Amino acid sequence: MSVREFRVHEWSRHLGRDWRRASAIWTVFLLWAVVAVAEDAVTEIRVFPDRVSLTDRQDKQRLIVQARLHDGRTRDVTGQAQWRLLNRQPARLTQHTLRPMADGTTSLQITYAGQTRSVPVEVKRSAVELPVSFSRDVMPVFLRAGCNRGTCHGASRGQRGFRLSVFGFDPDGDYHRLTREFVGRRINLAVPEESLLLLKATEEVAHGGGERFTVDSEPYQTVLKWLESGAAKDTGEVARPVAVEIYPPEVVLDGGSQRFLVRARYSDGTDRDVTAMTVFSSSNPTAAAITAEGVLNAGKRGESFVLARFDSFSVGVPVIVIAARTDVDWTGVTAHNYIDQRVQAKLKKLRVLPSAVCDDATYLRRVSIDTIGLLPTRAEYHAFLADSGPNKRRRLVERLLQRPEFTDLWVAKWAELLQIDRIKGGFFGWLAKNYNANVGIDQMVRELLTAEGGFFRDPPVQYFRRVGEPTKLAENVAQVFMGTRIQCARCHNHPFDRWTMDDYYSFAAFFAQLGSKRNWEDTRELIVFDKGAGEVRHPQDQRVMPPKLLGGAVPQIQGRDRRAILAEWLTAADNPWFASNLANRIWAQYFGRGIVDPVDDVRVSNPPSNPALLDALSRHLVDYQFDFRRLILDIATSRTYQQSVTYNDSNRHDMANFSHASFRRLRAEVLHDCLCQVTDSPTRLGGFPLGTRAVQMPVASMTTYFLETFGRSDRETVCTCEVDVEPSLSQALHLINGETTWGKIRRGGLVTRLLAKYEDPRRVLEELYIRCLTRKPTVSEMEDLARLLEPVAAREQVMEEIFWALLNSKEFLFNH
Amino acid sequence: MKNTNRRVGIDLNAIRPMYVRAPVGHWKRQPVLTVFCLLGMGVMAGAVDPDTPAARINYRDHIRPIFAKHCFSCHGTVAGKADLDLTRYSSTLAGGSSGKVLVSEDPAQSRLYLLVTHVEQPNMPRGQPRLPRADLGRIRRWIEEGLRATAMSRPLKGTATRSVLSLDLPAVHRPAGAPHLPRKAALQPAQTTPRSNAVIALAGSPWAPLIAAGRPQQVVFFDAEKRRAIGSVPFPEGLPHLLKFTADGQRLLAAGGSAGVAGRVVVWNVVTGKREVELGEAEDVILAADINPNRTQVVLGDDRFLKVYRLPAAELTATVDRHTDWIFAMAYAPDGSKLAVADRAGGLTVWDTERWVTLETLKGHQGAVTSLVWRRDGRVLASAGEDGTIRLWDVSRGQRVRTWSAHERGVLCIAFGRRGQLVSVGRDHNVCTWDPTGSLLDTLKPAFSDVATRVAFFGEAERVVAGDWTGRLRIWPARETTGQNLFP
Repeated sequence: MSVREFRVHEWSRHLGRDWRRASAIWTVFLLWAVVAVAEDAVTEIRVFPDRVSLTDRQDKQRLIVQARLHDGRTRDVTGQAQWRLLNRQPARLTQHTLRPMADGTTSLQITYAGQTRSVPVEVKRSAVELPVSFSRDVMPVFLRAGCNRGTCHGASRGQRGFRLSVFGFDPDGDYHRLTREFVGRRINLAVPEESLLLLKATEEVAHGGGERFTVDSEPYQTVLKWLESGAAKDTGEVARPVAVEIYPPEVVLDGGSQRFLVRARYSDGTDRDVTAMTVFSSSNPTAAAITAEGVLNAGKRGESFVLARFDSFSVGVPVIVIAARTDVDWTGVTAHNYIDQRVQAKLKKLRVLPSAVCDDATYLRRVSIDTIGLLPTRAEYHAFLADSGPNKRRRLVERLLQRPEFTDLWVAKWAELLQIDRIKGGFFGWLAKNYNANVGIDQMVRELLTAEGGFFRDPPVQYFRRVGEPTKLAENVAQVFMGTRIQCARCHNHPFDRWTMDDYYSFAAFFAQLGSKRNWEDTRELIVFDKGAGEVRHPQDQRVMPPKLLGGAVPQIQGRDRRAILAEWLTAADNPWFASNLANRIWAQYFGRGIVDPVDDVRVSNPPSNPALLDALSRHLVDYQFDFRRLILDIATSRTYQQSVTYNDSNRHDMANFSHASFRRLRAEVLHDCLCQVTDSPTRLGGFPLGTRAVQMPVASMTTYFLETFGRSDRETVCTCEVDVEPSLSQALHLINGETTWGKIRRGGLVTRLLAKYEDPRRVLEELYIRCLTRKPTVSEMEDLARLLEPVAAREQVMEEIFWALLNSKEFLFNH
Repeated sequence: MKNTNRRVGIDLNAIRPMYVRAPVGHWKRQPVLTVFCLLGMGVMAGAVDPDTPAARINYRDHIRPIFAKHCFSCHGTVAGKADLDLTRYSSTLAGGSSGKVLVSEDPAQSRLYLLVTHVEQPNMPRGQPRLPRADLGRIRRWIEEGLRATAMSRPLKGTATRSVLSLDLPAVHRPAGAPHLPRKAALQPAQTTPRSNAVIALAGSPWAPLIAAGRPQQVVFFDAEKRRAIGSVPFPEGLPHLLKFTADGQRLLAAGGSAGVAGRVVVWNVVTGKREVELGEAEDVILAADINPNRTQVVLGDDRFLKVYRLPAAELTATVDRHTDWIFAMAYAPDGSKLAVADRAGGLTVWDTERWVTLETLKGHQGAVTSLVWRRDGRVLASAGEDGTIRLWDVSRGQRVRTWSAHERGVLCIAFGRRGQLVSVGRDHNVCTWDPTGSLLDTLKPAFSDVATRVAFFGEAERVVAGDWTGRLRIWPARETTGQNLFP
């Protein structure tokens, strides 16, 4: 038990013994709290939505009022504000909800803390009763009530014979299954309220899924009305949602709660309050739990992302919960560049203080591993520590970026993403050549995606060999170059993102006209070419899908190579995905975690932890014309990168906001190369000359047991999860007992040589420490170890044991 | 008897049921007709309207022209696909690479006939619509009458064992006395709801112009002649899902209940409206049940369990756990010795009703089996399912004798007529009648506007009643194919 914990226990025991004293303390605290609240100055009030349009008899719109305080905190003051409807003819106001009365316009005045906002209200077609539509009104019920979740009736075989399309991607099929698949069972039009659908959902009769909604709820009333009107199939054009908005867009709480509103806009120009039909979820319920009705309750300090799902739309709002009154002393924390400004702005919002800057030796080791995949040599160590010139860290990074090992590291990374699996054909060489020549990554991607010709003569063509079908190519391009996973939408609309099946197959259409044939002069060679024909069809209704850029427009494709259009769009400076994905991947290399994490899983429900930071990085990358080196220089010289792993009270629990450095196990190839480096004992890999490093291996099949155990990518998929940096028992055992560690210590003969070179074993110890850990042993380490080395006869053996222990230490295995 | 058969056969438009033996095929038994034919032969052979009974359908004058028009392009002398040459009589009889395609006197075993009627696949002619009905009728008659080469040829004697589908059915014994109709006092007024449910329980009395249909909490009787509801018997147990008249038309069985709560089986005396049987303690609605002919046993499907009750005590005597999914249909063989049971997963079994052992497991349906009916002689069982097929099974041999696609996307209900003909409804909105071999007789007009859900024969003349998803009931007068709504 730490001292602090002990104190807390003591204190609480005191409280238990003497409740009067405790209540006195509480009284003081409450008085202080009241005073504190009074101090809060409201700087702004905001009303959501800022205009209301009611367009049929059943239409309604709830409103919320949010106050912003002087320090950025927000409060839900819907209940405290004064509400006044200027003209009561067109609409009536009940429980902060406007409902239509007669056609006309009016204005809603909302006043709080001396500020007034006015919301224009327009009422049209107030006498028109819209018929209940299955796809527009009933389908959202199944999503909201959870009926069509993959674990319930959305499962491929449904539940007890009743299936719904998962997350409602197939309204026609669901309509059929509800009304006609099992005639006479699921609905009862003669006595609608006795329909099994309703009896089960309200658990009037036994239901494995329990009660999904109550009789007085909006979902129930919607379904009942639909049944009463004959469970008709939609005829003609039914308005479909085209956009979904969630309010308020920003929430910073120090307690209390915040109500959310969701409004959908439809293709016919109308909008609706769909809060009651929306599924809410919170990414961190400990910090911010959200009820099914959309009321968020602040919990422990932390961050959360509230996700609202309606129809095929997912929208989200970041929520910050801070502890009431935490004051953080920011003196001495500086910002080196734009990166630090954005990181620190976010930390200030969270009231988290970043860690101090690390020492020179730690920085040297960290930046060497991240930039060139090797440890600093003894000479580099001494030179760097001795350097007293200005900007020595910056100069170090500049030097490292010019090293060939830097290129090797990134070529290896791309080889994984492009799934290079053979040496022949020179794909790996093409990559390395481009990198060495500092060709912009945008140009490389353009060349890659539009590649045509033979496998032997045109290396990038190989990209199209391993993946033969358009959908797979589309998935890979989206994941590697845009960082988003569209795979889910192959079979159903993506449940936590914006991608629909239409998006998926339209994107795949860019690769529909790709053909391949044998080269008849050399039949071993395959030639890839543009057929100029071929389409992708939607699997549900066999529609031909026109190529549509993911999240973008339908381009003009007449007479053009579809892949060229795609490549041009992807690498354009204003593409919202490409630069940001690259910047994020670079960032992750230096922090062990992306701003969006995982780096290839950008989705609405997995937002960047710091959007402003990601945005700044990607803008800079575009400005640098996709020159990695310049962006890396910015990153590696930022204060954020130089922070120590030692945390303080405020940033102890921060994982995602880069307030301190984190421990990262070296990835398999880098660890292997570092082991070879410190033991002076290279491994022969593949058929390459001794001394070729693991990072330089062009294909995954050239491997060793060591690399496998430490989770090197086997390039089966494009997922970043192919590289496994999770520690495992077999890794520990291999380091302890395995051939690699001992074998290298013996074969390298380093200990023997050093003992011969230096008389004093302390010098040997020091050199081993610098080699492995980039630091000198501490005084106590030196004393303890020197004692072991006193018997001269066993000196070599003991020294080897010490070397072995160093290689097994976490300090060696991790970057920190 | 013979005359009756002949009349019925002729009246069934062009295609005639199997068991109606053409008079000309039986020289010795029909001297008068033979004389007439012999007289007419020389002068009239080509001139006789081929669709009159007097015509001697033969290869040269009638069949070859049909083949020439539709078949020669593939099955000719030069291009004889499958080594089948239809241009000559001898080669036509010789058949093709898969053997003979014609079996004299038995269309149900003649592959050529089964393919051109699309009863079996591949459909012929390939990629073309089915041959005109009149042509099919001639081919059929030609086979039935012994495959004559010319008008003067002698018919070939049938040698193969006749298919179970071509057997003559035993004589029909009409029960003595007036058909059973409910007494006025036995019934309560029929209730109506603003909107009606799909027709999910429907039955026709075998002898009276009486139709029963299920409604929430009641079973409504209709007088088919007056085309109006005459009253109802209450079914407070919930919604009836199944209605069945006994073979004598004296009793009506209902199964159903309240979804997710309870299932019951009830048997009424049609005349008195009195409940004679009430049983079943199911926890969900009962979709399938039957009562045996001598009224000593009731079976029902409780979820996937087959439950057997002894009458009159209504005590549970056996529970059979053999099916893997909800039991959707069951039917006693006409003599009560066997019971056919089918479920939602496509399982179909036949049971001995004394010892409760499985006699047959009939495999083939993909998806739920929706309906099971026995032919009057107990030799043939018909099953229909969501896979869109109707299947005929020779139960004594455990064999499937015919499978055909009847309604696209699913057959929901079928019924057997006394002559072995079938009527079916399905998801394609159609009501279809089929001859005993499974060849389409008629698609009854007009089709429904939504899924056709239930169908039954009723009355001595075997008229058709069918219902659809919107709740509409429609009856077809005998021998006409234009239906009328039960409620105009």
